[in-house]
This record gives sequence, structure tokens and C-alpha cells, in this order.
Amino acid sequence: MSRTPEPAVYDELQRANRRATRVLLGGSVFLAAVMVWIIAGWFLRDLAFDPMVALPVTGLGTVVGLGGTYLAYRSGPSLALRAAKARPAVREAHPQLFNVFDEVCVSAGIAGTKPKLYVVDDPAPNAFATGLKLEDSHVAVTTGLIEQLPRYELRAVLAHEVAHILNDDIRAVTVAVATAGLVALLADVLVRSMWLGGGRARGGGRGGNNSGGGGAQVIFLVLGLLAVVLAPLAAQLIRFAVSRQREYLADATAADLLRDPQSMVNALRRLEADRTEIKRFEVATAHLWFEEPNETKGRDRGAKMARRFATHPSITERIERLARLNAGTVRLDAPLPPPPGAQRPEPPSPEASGGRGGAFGPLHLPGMPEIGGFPGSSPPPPPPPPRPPA
Amino acid sequence: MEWLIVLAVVVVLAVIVIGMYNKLVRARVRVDEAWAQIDTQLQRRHDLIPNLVETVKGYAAHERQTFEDVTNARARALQVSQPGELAEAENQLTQALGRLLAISENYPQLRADANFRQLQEELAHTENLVAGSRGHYNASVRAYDETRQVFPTSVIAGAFDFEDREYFEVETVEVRAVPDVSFE
Repeated sequence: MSRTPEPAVYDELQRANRRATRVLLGGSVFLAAVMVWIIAGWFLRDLAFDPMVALPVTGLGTVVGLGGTYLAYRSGPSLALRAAKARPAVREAHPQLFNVFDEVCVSAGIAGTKPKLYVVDDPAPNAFATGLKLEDSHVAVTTGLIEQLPRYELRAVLAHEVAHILNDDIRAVTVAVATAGLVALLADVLVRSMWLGGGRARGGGRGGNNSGGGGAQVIFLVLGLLAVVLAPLAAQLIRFAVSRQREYLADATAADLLRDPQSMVNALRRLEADRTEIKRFEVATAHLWFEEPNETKGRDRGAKMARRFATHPSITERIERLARLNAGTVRLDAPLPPPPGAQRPEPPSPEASGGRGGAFGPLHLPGMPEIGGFPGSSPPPPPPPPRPPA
Repeated sequence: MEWLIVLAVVVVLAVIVIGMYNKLVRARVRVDEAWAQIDTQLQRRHDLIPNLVETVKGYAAHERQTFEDVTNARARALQVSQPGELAEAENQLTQALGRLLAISENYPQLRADANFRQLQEELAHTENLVAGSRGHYNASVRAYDETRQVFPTSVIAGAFDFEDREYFEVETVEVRAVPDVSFE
């Protein structure tokens, strides 16, 4: 997925992403199974290499562990929403939000099963998607996002979140984080059982039965130590794998869905310039947000360190990648359209706005009537036009 | 023993064929669904036009030609139903609407009219819905075509007569660009 793709192969990238989801989930299950095997092996040293015993024990342990984790994470989406203090959005309060969301869903072909919209009271412009599948998916946006982003940029951000749902990212994130948690838990169990089991073996209570267990004991001591050190790292890597590449793809998918890469780029540029931080977020849900909500923006050493462990790529890099994908149609230097709350000095010409026009190539063809921007529902009435009535 | 192997091969083949057939049917259903979606959005647009024309007329009564163009284009679009023809009729309607909105720029009172502004938001929203459903329809047709023409499924598609579907084309750059229903 690191190759630079042609715009025409988004759906191929999407398929690759879904494959990656499956590989990732398979890998998580494998990791959990190995951990269970090592734990089981620690207690049943003689039988750990006997497939007739080890396979069922390991299989059962893994199924129970993963099943329990899955059940716990069935409530993951609602937990994430609750952690962010998201409340269901009301059409009357945010008509434009619903309008642009409808447009995104129609473009994505999911008008029949629209994700549910939520609003988070927070001045920082941000958004996230959560859920386990399309029918049970939720998109939350902050009030800051609604207030600061012009119509088409808001639409681009919503499309990015919907892209996460279409690309199977939300399921991957939810389950992978759950598995990462399970593996960390198993590593913990292993540490404790090494204390316990090791002591018992040396205690010699059943030492006589342990004949031939000496080699196995060494093997499991080494495996156990390795697992204790490496498993949490692997679990952390799974979390990263879920987030980073998928952000680029979601940006690209969103731009492709709306055939409007310029607005996506503009939205990213605007959010990059923004310095407000989200008030309420949990480390456990940080990877869900559109823009990673933590202290990674500062210039001090701590912030630099934090960036290295960030779940998201930097916004600058996301902009560059998206611009590279849509070379020729995207302009990075175009002035940003004013935010919806701002006083509009002049109806911007398509040339100057760099807004939706960029997506459609030459908007202002010779001989074509030039149409100014439309007033939205909230902005003040536009100033009188330069020309008198014909 | 041999007949068991033969049976197994037959069962496996049958499962593969059923799988490919279902894949084709699903792709076709998705295309039809996408087409229904376009229909809904176009209907919404057609319903909006008389209101818009009436409102603009109140302020710019002597732009008769523009109104007639819009009304005629709408009437034509209502008559046809084939994707190709409809795309052409809708393109003309889009152009006529673009001209109507362009002349409205010349009438400050009209632009300040709350009703007109609400219509503009509605129209912008509808245009985006039309464009979005069109994009989704074309993507569905492409996916269906791909399934229909790729090797093993192409045999099934031929045997069960999965007919091809037309794209909803937007011919010119002008059509893509007009009307510029931007809020910024």
C-alpha cells in the first residue's frame, strides 16, 4: 500500500485494505493462540508438544479469550461515543450537516443504511467514526468542525469518516484493539504464572512426575520471557498498523467518492493550521479521530517523541500524499474559503476560492457565465453585485 | 469409490457456478439500486424547478428565454428514461439552470430574497445529490461490467445472458462545472 497508485485504482487499494484487515485479524488471532499455548505449556510442560492435547487446549483457550474480548468490544462503539460525550445530532439544529451527510451517503451508495450522526460539544474541529459494521456505524463530529469548516470541507471530512466505514477500518480498529488488549492481558497472566509455576516446579511437590520436563521447562522459560517482552510490543504494532496507512486511504477514498480532492486538501490544510485541542478524549480512542487528539503539535522534545508514537501520520504528509494522488487537479497554494461564520467580503470567484472548482478542472471557461458563491443557511446576506440590473 | 470422486467434483463445480452466478446477480441488483437512487434525486430536482423559476420570474420577468429553456429542458427530461438519453436531457437542464442562476446574479433584490436563497441551498444540495448518485451509479456499472467480463464469471454471464448496462455519462466539462453551487 505504500506505492503511489493511480487515481483509477482506488477500489483496488480498497480491496487491498480489506485483505489487510483479514490478515491483521488472522495475525491477531495467531498471536493470541501462541500466547495461550505458551501459558498452557507452562502448566502442562509434558503435554505441550503432544498435538492431541495441546491443540484442543490452545484452541479452546483462544476461542474463549477472543470470544470474551469480542463480546466486550461489542460495546466498544457505544463506549467510544460515551467517552467522547457524543449526543445524537438533530436535523433541525444542524440542517447543513445533515444535507452534506446525505450527499456523502448518496455518493457512497449507502443512502439506505446511513450511519448515525452524533455531535460532540467541543471547539476543536475533529470527527470520528466507530462501529462494527455498516449497519451499526456511527459518525461523530465536534461543534468546532461544524462551525469552522465551510460546506464542502465539512463534506470532505464526513466522507473521510464514511470511507473508514466502507474500507472496513472501523471493524479492524475495534477488533484489533480488542485483541491487542487480550494479548497484553495474556502476557500479564504469563508473568504471574511464571512466578507461580516456576516456584511450584522448584518446590518439588510433584517434582518426581516432571521427569523429562527439564528440556521443556527451559524452552518454556525462554518462550515465556520472549512473549512477555515481545507480546505487548506486537499488540502495539497491531494498533499502529490499523491506523496509519488507513488514514491515507480514507483521504483518497473520500476525495474519490465526492470527486472533490481539493476540498479534502483544503479541509486538511485548515485543520493543520488549527491549534485547538480536543478537551475530552481517552488514549484508548485516540486512533479513532480524524486528527489525532493529543499534545503532538508542540515544538518541545516531548511532543516530538509523542509524534514518533502517534497513531496517525502527520497532516502535512496526508496533504502531500493526497496532492500527489491527484496531481494536476489539486492546488496547495489556493487561498482557503472563509469559514461559515466569517463575514464574506466579496463573492469569491472560482479562481480565487480554489474550492469545489479545482475538483472539476476548469470551472471558468471562456464564454461561460461566472456564478458567484451561494449564501449558505447561516452566513449574512451577500453584498450587492457589481453590475446593475440589465 | 470412483463415483464418490466424481460426485465431489460435480458438487464443487456446482458450488463455484452458483457462487459466480450470485456474484453477478448481486452486482446487477446494485446497479439497479443505484439507478433508482438517481431517479429519486432527479425527481427531487424536477420538483424544485417550478418553484425556482417562479421566484426568479418575480424579480426578472423579462428574461423570458431563460425560463422557457429551463421549463422545456425539464419537460424533455421527464419524458425519457434510457440512461443515455436521460443523461443528455439532464445535461441540458443543468446548463439551462446554470444560465438561470447566472442571470439571478444581476438582481440584488432577488439574491437577498430569503425564499430564493433557501431554494439555492436546496438546489445546491440536490445538484450534489444528483452528482453523487450519478457517480455511484457509474461505479456500480463499472463493477458489474468488470464482473461480467472477467474470465471465469464471463462464461456464466454469457450462459445466463447478463446484459450490459449503460453509463450515465456527463459529456462536457461545461456540464460538469455548471451550475457552480458553491457556498464558499
